[in-house]
Amino acid sequence: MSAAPPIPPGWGAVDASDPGGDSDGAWIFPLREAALTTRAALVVAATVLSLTLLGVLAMLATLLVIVRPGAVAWWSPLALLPLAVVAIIAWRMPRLPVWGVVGIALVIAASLATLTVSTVLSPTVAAAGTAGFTLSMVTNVVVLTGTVVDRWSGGLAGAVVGYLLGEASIVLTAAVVGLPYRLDVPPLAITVGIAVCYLIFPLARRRARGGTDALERADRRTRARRLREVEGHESIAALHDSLLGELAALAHREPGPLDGDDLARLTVALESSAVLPLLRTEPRARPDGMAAWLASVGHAGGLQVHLDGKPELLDALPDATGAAVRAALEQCLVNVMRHAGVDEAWLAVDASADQLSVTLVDEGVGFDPDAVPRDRLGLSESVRGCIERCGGTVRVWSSPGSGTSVHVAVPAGGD
Amino acid sequence: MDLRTTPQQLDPLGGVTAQAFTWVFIAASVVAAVSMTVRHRVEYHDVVLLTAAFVCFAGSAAIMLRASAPRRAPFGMRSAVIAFALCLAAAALETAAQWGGNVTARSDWAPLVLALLLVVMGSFRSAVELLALTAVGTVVVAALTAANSAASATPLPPVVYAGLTAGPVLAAGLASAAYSTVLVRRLNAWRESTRDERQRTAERLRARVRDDLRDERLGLVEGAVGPFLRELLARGETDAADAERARELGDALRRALVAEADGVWLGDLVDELVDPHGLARQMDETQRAAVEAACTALAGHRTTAVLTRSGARIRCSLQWDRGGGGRLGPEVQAVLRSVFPIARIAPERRLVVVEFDAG
Repeated sequence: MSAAPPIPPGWGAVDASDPGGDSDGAWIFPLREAALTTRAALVVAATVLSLTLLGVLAMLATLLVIVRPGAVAWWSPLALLPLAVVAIIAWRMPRLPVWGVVGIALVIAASLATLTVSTVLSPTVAAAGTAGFTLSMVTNVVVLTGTVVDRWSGGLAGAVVGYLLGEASIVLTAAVVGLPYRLDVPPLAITVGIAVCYLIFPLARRRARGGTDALERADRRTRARRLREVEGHESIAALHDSLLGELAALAHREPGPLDGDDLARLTVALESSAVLPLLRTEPRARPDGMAAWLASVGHAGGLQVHLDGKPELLDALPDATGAAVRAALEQCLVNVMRHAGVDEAWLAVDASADQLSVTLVDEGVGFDPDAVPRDRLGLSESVRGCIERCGGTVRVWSSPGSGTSVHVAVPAGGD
Repeated sequence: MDLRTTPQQLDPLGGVTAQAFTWVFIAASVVAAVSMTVRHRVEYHDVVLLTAAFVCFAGSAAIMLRASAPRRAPFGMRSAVIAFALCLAAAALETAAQWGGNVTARSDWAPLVLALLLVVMGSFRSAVELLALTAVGTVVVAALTAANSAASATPLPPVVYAGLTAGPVLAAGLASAAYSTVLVRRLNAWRESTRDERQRTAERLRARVRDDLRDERLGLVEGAVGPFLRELLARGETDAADAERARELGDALRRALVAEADGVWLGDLVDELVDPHGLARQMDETQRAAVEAACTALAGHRTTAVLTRSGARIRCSLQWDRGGGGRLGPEVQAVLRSVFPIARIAPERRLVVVEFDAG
């Protein structure tokens, strides 16, 4: 087992607060796009290959002209120029008309004929006949140019026609000027290779992309399931804060008439359940700022909340983060009221450049955080779930008999 | 950016297509090497060195075939460098095997094989790496050929012969780098051009999920809790039976919510899930999609998933029985290898082990 390279950008974990982010499905390249992209890349690669070969040939011929005058025809480097121009035209003009293709074929034939003549006039290469290095390489270039020009069969017919055109031009000229014929294997091998590759391409692509639909379906199902997970936890938290809380209160209240506050809470609980799971997307009113609101929540439950630090910073949080922090702190205060057995708590707010921290401390009975039953949704969903979904963290320090501290940290600048 | 990214990083399935061509090019290399050696056998006067050259070439080919396999994707830089180095060694050994007797430089098979190897790598490695390998290969091949030509007392300047062998290597390497660059550039352009559409799709999906959830929640609440609360509102008072009813309803609602909160996505995809600590939740979405694709492909088998901690990572083992239909196709293997930092895929043992970072 070996370590693979790092996961590339766009494939990493999607922020839980933004499921369905911009990496959705971007890791599955569609079949049609793949075919077009491969063709475009092959066209550029064939052109680069052709131009480099022509450049090397020109450089070697020029070198020989300089260091061994008479070894090759002095004008032979110039005869390569039309082939380079043709290669560039074929690359840059994707929609060549028929007369353009015919023109390219004529230029190629003329260039190869000229180069064949130059071979006859070059004592150092004439011995190799029609299979000399220069003629061999330029025939390769013509085969590659044929694949680039061919927009109809994807390149296969262009390669074959290029090979036949190149060989015919060279052989006919060689027959006229008396250059011996030698079978030149490389261009033939390249043509056959291109043909084999074009035959294999559909099979290889089907093998690779045959499962694309299944992968895309899996991708969509996974993202839907993940969205449901995140949104579902939001609504679980909302249900916990509304209906479950109200049912718990009803279960513990003394029988008797419902007063105005009771009726108002029941109404709110019913209304909130009707808009689930979008409850948290509607910010609640906070007439005197969030800190004052939290203090009033505590006061209503008989808990005096002492504010410390910079509580005004709570109101500077972005809406979604502020709503999550408010919901989490409300639940923490409710927990203190219900379980701590004290009538005082301290709420401290502090901030750094990129993070806002809130600490709620009580000196109550405390509890063992590891022993909280799994079915207690208050801490797991209403506090931890809310905060973690907006990119924050929650830490709880408590033990039986020594009070409880809850530390909430959220990004200061964004959701 | 485009020059340093590999096509396979952006399109794992492209690597699966390229694997077929790796086989084709390696086969062509073998044919070329053997046929050229036979045809120009008089130029070789040291069989041991020639054999060593073929051994190096065989090693290089084996590494290429191994590294291009979907189950070992992505094709790593280390594999590329080792395969390339072995090929260069083959070129050096071939030169040594014909030292002083190299009549026709074009008959050397190692530079041709090196050029084909560079072409194959275009589908797997980044343009920068390909350019670096091309530069090294061109210089080394040119130096070897020039030195051998000088030792062979050839009629033309050694630099001309160096051009005959190094020229194709240079051309193939540059073409390969261009191929890699175009693939990466177009893949990135496609991602950019479809970003808005993908976001719109995600928003539509989100809206649908929210609607479904709201309907389910309303069904959950309206089945019992809603009527109960409305009855209390209408009556304006509670009694002991109401308190008991409120407790029962609260417990039932809590159980339903806890069951949903504890639900593990992988549980729906395999026949048996062993994940006592809920570690499957820590996979990111793309990793989950890859595992889901694997499970879907193996739907005809009885599958078991086991999640355990492995240091700072989490290990997920997926096993399946012998019977049933479906198989882990190369595209799924490639995606699994590409998405997880560590993945071992052994279809013949009906086992997939992936590891991912703990959240």
